[in-house]
Amino acid sequence: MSRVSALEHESEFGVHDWKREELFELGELIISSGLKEKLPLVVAIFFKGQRIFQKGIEGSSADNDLWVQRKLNTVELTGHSSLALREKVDSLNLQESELGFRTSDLAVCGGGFPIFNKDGLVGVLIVSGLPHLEDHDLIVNSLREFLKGRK
Amino acid sequence: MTIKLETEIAIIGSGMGGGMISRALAEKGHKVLILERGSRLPREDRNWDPSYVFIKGAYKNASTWLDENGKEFAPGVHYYVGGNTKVYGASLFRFREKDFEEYQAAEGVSPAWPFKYADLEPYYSKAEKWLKVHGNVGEDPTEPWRSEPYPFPAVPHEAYLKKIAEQMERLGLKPLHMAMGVDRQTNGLCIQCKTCDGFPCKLGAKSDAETCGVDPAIATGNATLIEGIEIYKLEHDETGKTITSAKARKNGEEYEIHAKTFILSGGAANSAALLLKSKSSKYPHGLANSSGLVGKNWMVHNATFMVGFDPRRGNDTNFQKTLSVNDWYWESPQGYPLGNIQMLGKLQAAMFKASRPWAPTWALKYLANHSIDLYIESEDLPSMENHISVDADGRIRITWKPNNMKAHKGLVKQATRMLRKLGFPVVLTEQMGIETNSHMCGTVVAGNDPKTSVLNQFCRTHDLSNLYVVDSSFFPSSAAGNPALTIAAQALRVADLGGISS
Repeated sequence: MSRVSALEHESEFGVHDWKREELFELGELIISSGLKEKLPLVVAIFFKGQRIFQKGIEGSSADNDLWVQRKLNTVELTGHSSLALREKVDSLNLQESELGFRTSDLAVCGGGFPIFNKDGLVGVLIVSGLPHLEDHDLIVNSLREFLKGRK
Repeated sequence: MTIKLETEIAIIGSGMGGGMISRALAEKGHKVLILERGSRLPREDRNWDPSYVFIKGAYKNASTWLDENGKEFAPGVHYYVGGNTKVYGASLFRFREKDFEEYQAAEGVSPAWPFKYADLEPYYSKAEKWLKVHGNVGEDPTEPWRSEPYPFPAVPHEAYLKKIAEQMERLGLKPLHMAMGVDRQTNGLCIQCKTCDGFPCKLGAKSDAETCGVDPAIATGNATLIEGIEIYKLEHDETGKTITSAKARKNGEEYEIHAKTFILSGGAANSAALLLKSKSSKYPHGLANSSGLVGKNWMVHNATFMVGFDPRRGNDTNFQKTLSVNDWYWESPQGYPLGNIQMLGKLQAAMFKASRPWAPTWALKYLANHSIDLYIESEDLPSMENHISVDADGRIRITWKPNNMKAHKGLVKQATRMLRKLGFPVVLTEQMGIETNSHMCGTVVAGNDPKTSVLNQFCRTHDLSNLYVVDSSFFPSSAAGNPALTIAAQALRVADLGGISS
C-alpha cells in the first residue's frame, strides 16, 4: 500500500494564521461533501481550547460524540493526528492491549487532525462516522481543497 | 578455609527492619553485626537520571525470580545497605486501629494481628522521630490516635496540587498531606526535587534505613557493618531450639557467624527463602516451619498507576508526593473498604517510556508535563495458595493470583470518577504486575498460636528461642497503606520487649 503517512499529511499543510471564520467555512465544506454522498458522519472543530463547530448528518448518533472526544484527547495528548498514533503502534506490531496503559479515553485510529499556527497546535479537526481511514482522508482532502481555494 | 566471626547479635539484612533494629539495639549497648549482601548505593549524578534509573533499571540488582509457570522476571528488589528503602517513596503512614483487628473485606476476612494498635503506638511515635516524618494532624478522616504530634509539619503542596486539593474539597473529599520522611526541616538537606519516589537520593535527604538506621547504629560504636556478604544457611544445635551459626559467602570465601541472637531481616521473599533453604532433619520442611506457614500468605497489595491528563493544565510540580485521599479507606459506596489513593512522585517522560517503548517521546513529554500521577493501593488477603518457594537450584519462585480485586476495582473506579470531576478528560491506568514487589509481606506470619503462625507477637520464631524475623514478613494482613513505618515501629518494639538479652 502506498499511502503516505499521517505525519506527512500534517507537514503538507504546514503553519497558517488560522481564523475561526475560516474554520467555520472548512467545517461547512466537509459537511457539504458528506451531505452530497449521504455519509452518516459528525464534524467537530476545536479552536484554542473551545468547541467552535459541530454538526451531525442523518445517521450519526451520540455515539459519535464519544469518539469526537476520544480523537480530541488523542491529538491533544500527542500533538499529532490520531492516525499517526495508530501508524506508530502498527509499525511495531503491537496490540492495543500491549500499550502499557488501559484507557477508553483515547482513539488509536484516524479521524482527529491537528492544525498549527506559528505558536504550535491551535486547533483540532475531527470527523467520526466512517471507517477510520476515510475519516482521516476526508479531513485531509477537504483541507487541501480549502487551502487551494484560499490562495 | 572458613572465616569465623563472633558477635552478640547478628542481623541479616539492612532494610527498614534490619536497619532500624540494629540502631535500637546498638543504642541499648548491644554488640551488633549487620550482614548485608549488597553494598552501599553510590551517591552519584546518575541517581537522578530517569533513563538510567527507569529504562536501564540500573539499581535493580537482584537476580531474576520465577513466576508460577517458571517464567523469569526481574523483581523490584534492591540489595544495598538500606535495602529497598534506598528507592522507596518515603511515605511513612501509620496503619489504622482497625487494621490490627479482624474485619470483613470485600472478598474475605482480613485477620487480626497478635497485638493492638495501642501496643505499637509508642513505637510509631519513636520511629517517626528517627525517620523525620513530616505530617499534619487532623486532616485524615481515618487517622488513628497518636500520643505525640508529628515531629515536623507536612511538606506543603506546590501550587498545582494546592489547586487540586481545593477542588477536591469542593467535591466533598478530605484531601490530606502525606506523612513523608525527608530531611526538610530547618537546615535540612532535602530540596524537594522531582527525583525522589523511585530514585535513590543523591543528597542523603531521604529518610531511608541507611541514613536513619544503619549509620546511626554504627555511630554508637556498638555496630559493625559487613557489606557484600550473603547468608545461605542457618544452622541449629541438636535440640533444634537454638541457632548456632549462619553460613555465608563473601568474595568467594566461606564465613561462619556465631551469635547469641540472630535477626533475619531480608524482606518478605528472602527471609522466607532462607528459612526454607535451611532445612535439617529436625526441620525437614524448612527452619522454624513447624506450622508449615513459612513462605505462605504472600501479599503485595493490589496496585494501579493512574495518570490523569489535561492538555489545558500544565503540571510544573517538582515534589508531587504530598497529597493523599483516604475517603474510601473504610467507607465506600460499594459497602466495603477500598484502600488508599496517593500521589506518585512526578512521572517523567523516561519513566513512562520504560514500559512503553512504542510511544513517541514527543507524546510522552507532553503527557508528563500535563498530567497528575496517582498510586492506587488496596489490601490483598492472606491465602495459602499465594506463596514463595525455593527451587532446587535455590531460585525464588512466586505463586501469586491477586485476590480481593473487587475492592481494588472499586477504588480504581472511584479514583477515575474523581479525576473526571476534577476535569481530567483522559485517564490512563496500568495495573502493577508480579515484577513490582513493593509492599510484599506476610510470608513468616506472626500470631499467638504456634499452629497458625511462625512468629510470636515480638517476631521471635515459636520454634527457636534465639531467632527473630524482623521485616514485613510478620504482617498477618497487608492493610492498605505503605508498610515501611509499621516495619520500623515493630523493629523498635521488638528491640524493647522482644526478650533479646545479652
